[in-house]
Amino acid sequence: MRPSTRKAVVIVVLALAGALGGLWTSHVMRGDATTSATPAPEITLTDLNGKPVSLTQYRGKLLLVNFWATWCAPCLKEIPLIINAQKRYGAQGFQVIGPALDDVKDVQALAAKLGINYPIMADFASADAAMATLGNKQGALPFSVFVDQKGNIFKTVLGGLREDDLNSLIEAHLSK
Amino acid sequence: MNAPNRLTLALLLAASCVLPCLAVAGGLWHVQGSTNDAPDILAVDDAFQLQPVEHTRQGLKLGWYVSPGYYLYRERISIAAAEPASLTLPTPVLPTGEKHHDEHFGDVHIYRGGRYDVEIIGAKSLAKLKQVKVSYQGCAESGVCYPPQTRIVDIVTLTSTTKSNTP
Repeated sequence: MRPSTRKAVVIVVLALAGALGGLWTSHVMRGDATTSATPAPEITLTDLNGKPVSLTQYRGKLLLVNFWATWCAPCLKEIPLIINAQKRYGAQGFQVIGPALDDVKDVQALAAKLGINYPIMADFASADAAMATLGNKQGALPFSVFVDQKGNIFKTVLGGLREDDLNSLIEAHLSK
Repeated sequence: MNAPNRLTLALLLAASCVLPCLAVAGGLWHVQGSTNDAPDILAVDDAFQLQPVEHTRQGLKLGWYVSPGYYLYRERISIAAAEPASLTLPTPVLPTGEKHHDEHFGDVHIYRGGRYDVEIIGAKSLAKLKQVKVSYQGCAESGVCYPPQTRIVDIVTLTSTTKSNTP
């Protein structure tokens, strides 16, 4: 083998080793990310009757806290997917709650129209404070927080959920 | 070096360039996708920059600079007298905006990235006005919306004196 060819082969081997290292690192980081769950903070929301609702009362369930509002078009777009997920996985231990940054009257009317099949809350101040505590500093919607059966947050999503991602995530955590 | 060897070497070199990029991209995607999915959005006051309220010969002028990638709903803008609150403002003249159909909100108009000025005509009746209450609401094109915003703006000093994000 000529020296120039040998040099080229060494470069290629080193680059491939680097690539494999990168892939291994990404795999390791993925593993850390899915296992590094954070305990859900103590937050209190207010239901449509003005009664307090705590996240801890859903311990043992796979919980999706979906913050929404009647003025938020992306929220209204994703709600049918969430209704379907509640219908499909509810019996297996999946539970959705929907705190709204809105007025009770507006929320009640729209919830009936959309056929929401999970508990909803409507109090701007408590929902906004809860979102800030959960890491949504801009207060933007929609905002979803997934809490596992042990009360640990394993994923937050700012923006609309996609049906296939939502179902995969639920199935993966219900089987644990 | 013969032709087949050159081809093999070229393919290996190409792979050595592409694979590290794929590895890095894959790593970033997985980390983002498994814990927190959040688009990088501006603070609401940077997304919708409320401009100073000015007295003009015709009355009042105010407006927004909407950052690129964001939009305001025309139908969710309201302007009222704050000091004195008893004053009834003439109907503001709002830019037409872009027609937009939403399956839940119906036909609305939006102001996408750019400067949008609003005029309130009525110089005499507005002379005593010291503050206005301005409410507005908008979203990011990335698929998130900000809560309705309300600002009490001091016309004399041309600065926002109080702020609230409750409707």
